[in-house]
Amino acid sequence: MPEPAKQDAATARAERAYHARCRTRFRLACLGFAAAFLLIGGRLVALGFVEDEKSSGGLLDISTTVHRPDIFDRHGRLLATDIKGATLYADPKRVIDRDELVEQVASVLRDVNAADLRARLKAGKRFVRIKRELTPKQQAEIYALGQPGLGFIEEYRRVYPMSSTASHVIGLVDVDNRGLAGIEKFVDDNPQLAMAHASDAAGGEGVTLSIDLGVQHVLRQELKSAIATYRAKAAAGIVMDLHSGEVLGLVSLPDFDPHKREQALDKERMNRIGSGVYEMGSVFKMFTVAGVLDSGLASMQSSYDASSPIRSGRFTISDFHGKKRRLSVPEVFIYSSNIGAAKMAMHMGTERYRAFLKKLGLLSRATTELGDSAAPIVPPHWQKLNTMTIAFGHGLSVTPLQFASASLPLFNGGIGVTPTFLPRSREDAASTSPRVLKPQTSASMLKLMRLNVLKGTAKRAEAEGYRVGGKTGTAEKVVGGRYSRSALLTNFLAAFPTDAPEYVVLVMLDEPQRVAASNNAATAGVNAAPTAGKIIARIGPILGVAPKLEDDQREFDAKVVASY
Amino acid sequence: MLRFINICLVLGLVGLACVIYQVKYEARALDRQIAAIGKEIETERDAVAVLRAEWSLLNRPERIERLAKKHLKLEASTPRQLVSLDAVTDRDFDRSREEKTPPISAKPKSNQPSVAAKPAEVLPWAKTATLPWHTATIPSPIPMSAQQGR
Repeated sequence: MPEPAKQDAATARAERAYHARCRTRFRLACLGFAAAFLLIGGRLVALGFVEDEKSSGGLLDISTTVHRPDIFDRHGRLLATDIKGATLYADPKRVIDRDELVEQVASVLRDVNAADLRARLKAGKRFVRIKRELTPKQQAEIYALGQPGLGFIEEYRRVYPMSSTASHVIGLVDVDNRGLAGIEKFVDDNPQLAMAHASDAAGGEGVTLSIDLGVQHVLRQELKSAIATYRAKAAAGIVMDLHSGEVLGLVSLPDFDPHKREQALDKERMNRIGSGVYEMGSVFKMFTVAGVLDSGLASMQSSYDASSPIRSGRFTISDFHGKKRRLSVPEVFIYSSNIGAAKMAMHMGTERYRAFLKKLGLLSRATTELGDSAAPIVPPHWQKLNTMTIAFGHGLSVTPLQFASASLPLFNGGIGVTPTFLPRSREDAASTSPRVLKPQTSASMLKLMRLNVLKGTAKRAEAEGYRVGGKTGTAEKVVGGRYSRSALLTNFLAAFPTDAPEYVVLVMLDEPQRVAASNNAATAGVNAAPTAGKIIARIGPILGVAPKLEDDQREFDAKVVASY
Repeated sequence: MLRFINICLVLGLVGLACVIYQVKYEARALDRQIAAIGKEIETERDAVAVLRAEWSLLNRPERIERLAKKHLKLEASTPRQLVSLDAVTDRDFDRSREEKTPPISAKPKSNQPSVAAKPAEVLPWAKTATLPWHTATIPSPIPMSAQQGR
């Protein structure tokens, strides 16, 4: 039977071929599945290792305000911090009865505008903020309404425990907790600052300032009482470390409460230290005397003829406390001779005098962490007459901050340190700042300042034991384009202790009146000087300046008086 | 043989699935716990922030000064009330021992050279009448009239 055999063989062949095909397909399928499983398995393992941020919390954060670092004074006392407050919002998609909701919310929160809220709910957004900074009581009442579609989010709110005590330095924030002014703004522009100042006790970030809260408070209290005593319109003061350039206290009255943002916009409450420019008056003679001593043109023994007023065109420069004779350099300083100062500046010559003021930074803006200070008003065409008037403090308007900073090299041995509101060590300041004056000039200036308190116009600035040296300045304010006899700006710049100088205090009173407390006078010697003396007597112990009485003090004073 | 291996694998698979589910639920529970603790930390931190703000609000110099004026009959110290420890001689110290002043709250200042540079507080009349450190222990206020009588 060849036929069936043939058939069988054919069938067997077909079968083998079929099996072979099947096996190939089977293997292919296996391979495919294996690959798929490997892929999925691998992905699973990979997912297991990936840390998914979103899976951890599961809480939706729709808070709009940012968390700000705390601000501390140089001794770690809290000046500004964040606390949480509830903000009420509505989700219009989930509101059932819009009118009822608006009515009920308005009945609890009186200051919510019902018509406005209704319009905003109608607008169809998913998030409508109704009110910020709810009190816990209001929050409880809203809960009690039981209205669907209402919700709370927790938002940060800035609080300033010291209220207005340091408001001009710290500045303030807007409703979204962003810095508007002062250090708050500086922190926003320099986020690395909060990182650099390692965390505080509570684990948050913090920024430490050079401000000393105690000094700041004393400065503010004394200026406040000076305003009351001398019936001044305004007052300002600054305390600086004259070696490091750190600002330890800065007050400008009237000031504002940083919790009340609208107050900060009031022009009367501006920062007079950094944003106001003033003709400083006789206190400017410090720079004239320092300039002529530093240039080597004159020594403490030199003298200038102040016997007759200087006439230049239609102007006459004369003295307030005229002596009508030749005056030595110390006499020019302590009698505050305008003629003497003008002659000193002329001795230096306009170019050299101008270059000297420029070197001290009096002709350009001073930049600190609080931003640029106001630009000084420099005469556009600097003539001989300008040099003469600027020599005794008229014709050049500068900010008090700039003025105090420029005075530092006069007392610290001649190092031109820049002002700062952040802590800086004296070594750092000395190594990074240029020398602008000779050390001898600085030593002479300290003697002159002390002499002025012992013998000159600043006798009332004496704070027992603290060896105060100072210079008074009374400037007539420009009212309606003319210098006014009655509207005065009185200044006092003090350095203490003069035998081992550490701190500078600048006090400025705006329009003090002739009151009995100041012997019915209104010049700086009877109002700004005693105010500075009181401030020094109180901040001396805070700053750790050891008072010296009797023998020690007399020794230095005797030397000072002998030199004159 | 193959069947046996397959059965083993299936059983293993089921077992593993059970274990994985259990681990997953445990992990989820832990996750929730972490979230809860995180929330708790946040709440505590906020509470601490509020307390610190309150602390510095209550400790602001303005308020302390007002309260001190109201409740304490103290005056600000003057430089005359400060004397440096270097100014105190051994003889003064011996004399005070003879007088047997009970060292109430007095720190034995002479034994602490580390504070030698710090000025000790004395009463204005102390220089002539009595000795600096033993008057320094008197916690009584210094009346202004006494100073003026100096």
